[in-house]
Amino acid sequence: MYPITINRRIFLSLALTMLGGLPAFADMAIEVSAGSRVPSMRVEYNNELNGLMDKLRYRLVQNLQGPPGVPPDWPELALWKFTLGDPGKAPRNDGAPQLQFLIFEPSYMKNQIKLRMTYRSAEIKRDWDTVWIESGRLMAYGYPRSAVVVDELFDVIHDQLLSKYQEELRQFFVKSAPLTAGGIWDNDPENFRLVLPLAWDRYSSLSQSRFRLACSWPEKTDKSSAAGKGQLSTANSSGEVELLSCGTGHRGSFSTGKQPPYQALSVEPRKWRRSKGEKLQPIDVIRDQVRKLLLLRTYLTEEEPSLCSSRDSSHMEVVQEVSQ
Amino acid sequence: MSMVITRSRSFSIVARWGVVALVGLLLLGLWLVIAQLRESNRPNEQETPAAPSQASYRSYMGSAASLEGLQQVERAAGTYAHAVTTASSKQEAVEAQLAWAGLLSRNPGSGNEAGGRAEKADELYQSALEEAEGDQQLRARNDYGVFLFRQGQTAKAAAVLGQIDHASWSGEDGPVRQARYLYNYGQVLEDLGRTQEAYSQYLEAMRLDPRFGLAREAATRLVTSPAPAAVLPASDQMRLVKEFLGQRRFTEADGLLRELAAHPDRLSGADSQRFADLFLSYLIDSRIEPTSFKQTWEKPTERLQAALPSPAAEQIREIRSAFLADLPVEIQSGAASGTFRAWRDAGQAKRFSELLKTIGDDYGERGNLHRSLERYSQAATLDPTNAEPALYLTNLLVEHSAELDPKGELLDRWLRALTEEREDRYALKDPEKLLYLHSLLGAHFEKGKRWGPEDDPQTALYQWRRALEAQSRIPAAEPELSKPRPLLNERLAFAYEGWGEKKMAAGEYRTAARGYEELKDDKKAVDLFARADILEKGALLQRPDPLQEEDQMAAIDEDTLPGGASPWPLIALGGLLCLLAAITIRIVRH
Repeated sequence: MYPITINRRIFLSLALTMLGGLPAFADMAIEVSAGSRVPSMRVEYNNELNGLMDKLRYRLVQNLQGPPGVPPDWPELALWKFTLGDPGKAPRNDGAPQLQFLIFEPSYMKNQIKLRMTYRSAEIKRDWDTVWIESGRLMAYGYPRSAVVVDELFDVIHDQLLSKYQEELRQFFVKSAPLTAGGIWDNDPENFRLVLPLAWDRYSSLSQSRFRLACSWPEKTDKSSAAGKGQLSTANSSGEVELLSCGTGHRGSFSTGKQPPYQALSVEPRKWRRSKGEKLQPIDVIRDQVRKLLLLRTYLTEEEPSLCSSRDSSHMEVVQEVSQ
Repeated sequence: MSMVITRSRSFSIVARWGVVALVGLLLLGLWLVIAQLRESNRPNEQETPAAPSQASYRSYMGSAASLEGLQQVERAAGTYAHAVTTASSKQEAVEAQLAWAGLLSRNPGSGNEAGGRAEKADELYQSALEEAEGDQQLRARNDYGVFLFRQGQTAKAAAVLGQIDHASWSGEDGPVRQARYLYNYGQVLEDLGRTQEAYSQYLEAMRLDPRFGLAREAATRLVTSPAPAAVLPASDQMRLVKEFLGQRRFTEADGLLRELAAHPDRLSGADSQRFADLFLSYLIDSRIEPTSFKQTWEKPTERLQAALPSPAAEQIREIRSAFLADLPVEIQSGAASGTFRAWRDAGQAKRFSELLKTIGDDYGERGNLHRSLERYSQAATLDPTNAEPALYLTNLLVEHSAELDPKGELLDRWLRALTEEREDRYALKDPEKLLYLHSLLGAHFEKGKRWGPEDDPQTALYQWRRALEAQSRIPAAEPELSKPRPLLNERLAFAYEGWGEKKMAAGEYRTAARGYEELKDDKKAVDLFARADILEKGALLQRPDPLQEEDQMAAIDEDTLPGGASPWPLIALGGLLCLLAAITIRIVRH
C-alpha cells in the first residue's frame, strides 16, 4: 500500500504535460478540478478520498483533451486546452476559465448525492447538476467500493453531464475561454495577417473559422497620436480592443525565437471594436495602426456569420448574406 | 573503528549501486536513440513517392491557393490553369477547374476585367458540370448556382440549384455540404420573393448542421424582421423555436417565445396549443427556476392567459400555478389530479409531471420545503407510473417529518396510497427507484425502532422485505445492480433481530454473509456468520448496527492510482542518491 503522497501529484502533472498541456499555454488552459463536500464520503473512503479525487480529475482532463493518437470523445471541446486545477487551493477567482466537478448533498435531501459541473470564467458562471447516488440508495447498497468509485463517478459525468451539456459548454467556451495566448504578425508587410500559436496539425479544422482577438497597446506606444473618430486611441478602459478575424485557410510559420518555428493557423483581421457591446467597424479605417497592437488572447466566435463565409471548410461556394 | 569500516562499506555499496543506476540510465538513453534512428530510417509505407505530374499538380494547386490568399487573382488564375493541364485524372482536372472558377466567382473584378472573368468562370463551370460525377457533380452544380446568383442571374441560379436531388448527398460530411447548398438555395429563393420556401431551406440547413451560423442568422432574420406577421405565420416561428430547443440554444428560443407572447393575437386555434406545448418544453429543458419565472415570465404569461383561446389559456394558467401558487398536497391512491386538468386532458400529464418535479427540486434547494412537497405530490399523482416524484415525496416526509408532518399523518396517508397496484406500476418502469423508496422507509422505521410486525407498512420489517422484493425485479441485464447486495439482507436481519425473530434473523445474516463472501469481504462475512451462530445458540451480545460499523462496506482496494503506487520513482530517487554519494566519496578521497 502506498499512501497518497506528493509523488502522485508529480506523476499526475507529468502525465498531463505528456498529454499535451504545454507549460507555455498553461495560463490559457481551462482548469479542471474535482472535489467532494459530502462528510459521509470522507468517513467511507477515509485517507483515500484525496487520491480518488486526483484520479477523477486526471481522467476528466484526459477525456476532455483526448489521449494522444486517439480521437477525443468531445472533438469540439478538445480544441481548448485543459489542465489539472490545483487540488490544494480553493477555486480561483481571477476570471480564468475553470471547469469544476463537485460532489455534494442537496441541503434539503441529505439521503441523495449529486454531482455538479460548474463552468466559471470572468463573465459566466453556470451550473449543471445530476444525481449520482439516488435518494435511498446508500441505505440499500452503501457507497461503491473504492476500486470502482472513480469509474462510476466518471461514467456519470461522461453520460449525464458532458454528453448532455457539451453543446452548451462549447457555447460558453466560445464566449469566454481563450484558445491560446499571443500571436505574431506575418513578416511580409504586404500580408495583413497574424499567425496564431495554433499548430496546423491540430487546428486545421479551424483554418476558415472566425476568431475574436483581444489585443492591447504596447506600453510605450504613444496612443495620443491616433486620436480622432474611428481611431484606436479611444480603446476601452482596460486598454484592450477586439479584432474580428477570419481564418485565411492557409498556414503560416509561427516562431517567437524561443522555440523552433512550426506551421500554424493564420488569420486576417476584418473588423474591430473597442469593447464587446460596441458596433463592429471595418478594419480598413485603422489598418495602419492595427499592426502596433499586441495580440493577447484568441477566442473562437459565433458572431458575424457572414464575415468570412464566401468559401468555408466544406469547400462549397457559399453566398454572402445579401438579403438584409 | 568498526563503525568507520561499516560506514565505508556502506558507502562503497551505495557507490556501486549509483554506478549501476548510471549505467542503466545510459543504456536506456542509447536504446532510445537507436530506436529513433531506426524509426527515421524506415521507409514510410503509407506515403509512396508522388509521380512527377502528381507532384506538379499538387504544387500548382497549393501555390494558387496561397496566391489567392494574397489577393493576387490573376497569378492565382494562371497557376490553376497549370494545375488543369498537369492533372493526371479527370477528377483532378475537375477539382482544378472548380477552384479556378470559384476564384473568379468570388473575385469578379470590375470594368472589362469583370466580363472576361465571368465568361471564363462560366466556361469552367460548364466544363466541370460535363465531366464531374458523384459528389463533385453536386458541388459543381452548387458552385455554378452561386456564381450565377452573384452575377445577378437569380432565376437561372434557382433553376440550376433546384435540379439538385436532395437524396444525393452522401459521405460523412454530406449533411454539412447539403446544409450549405440548402442555405444557398434559400438565399436565391428569398431574392425571388419566395420567402416561405427560403425559410424552410434555412431551417433544414440548421437541422443538418447545427453549427452553421449563416443558416441560423438567415432564419432568425426572417422571423424577427420588423413585420414578421407579414412574412411568416406564427407556426413557422415556432418551428424555429423547436430547432433552437433541439440545439439547446435557450437564449435564442427565449427571445422568439417572448416575441410570440407579445402578439397573442397571432396565436389562434392550433397555434395556441402548439405554443403552450413548446413553452412547456422550453421551461423543462432550460430548467427555469421559480424566481427567474417570476421575474421574466409572470407578466407575459398573464397576458397570454387573458388573450389565448381555451384550452391553451388554461394550460398557461396551470403553468403559472405550478411555478408561483400554493398547491394542495395530493396523496390519494388512484386519485386523478384535478389541479392540472388542462394538461392531463391534453395528454401531457407525464411531461407536466416532469415540470412539477423540477420545480419541486428548485423550491427544495431554496429551503421552501412545503412548496417542494406540494409539487412532488402533484407530480406523483399526475403521473402514477413515475417513481421519481414518489421517491422524493417519501424522502421529504421521512427526512423533514418534524417540519412537514409532525404527527405523521401525511406519511400514514402516503403509505396507504402505496397500494400493490401502484407499486406494480413503479416496478414495471423503475424497480430500482421502488427499492430505494422502501429502503428510505425501512431506515426511517428502523431509526424509530418500529421493527414489526412484517405485515404492517409502518415497520422496518415490512419495508426491508418490500425493498428485497423490488430488488428481485431489477432486470439481470444491469450487471452492477444484479451483483450481490448483502446490506439489504443484513438490514432485514437486523430488523428481525429487533423484533425478536432470532431464527429468521440468523437466516438473513447468513444470506448476507454469503453475499459478502462473494464480494471478497471476508471479515464482514465471518462477523455475520458468527452473529448468526450466536443468535441460534441464544447467547446475548450487543447487537451490531450495520450502519455504525466502520468496515461494513466491501473491501477497499487501497491502491488505485495509475503509476502513483509504483515503487519505481523511489528506486530512481535511490539511484540518484547513490550516485551523489559516490561522487561525494570520490571528492572526499581526493
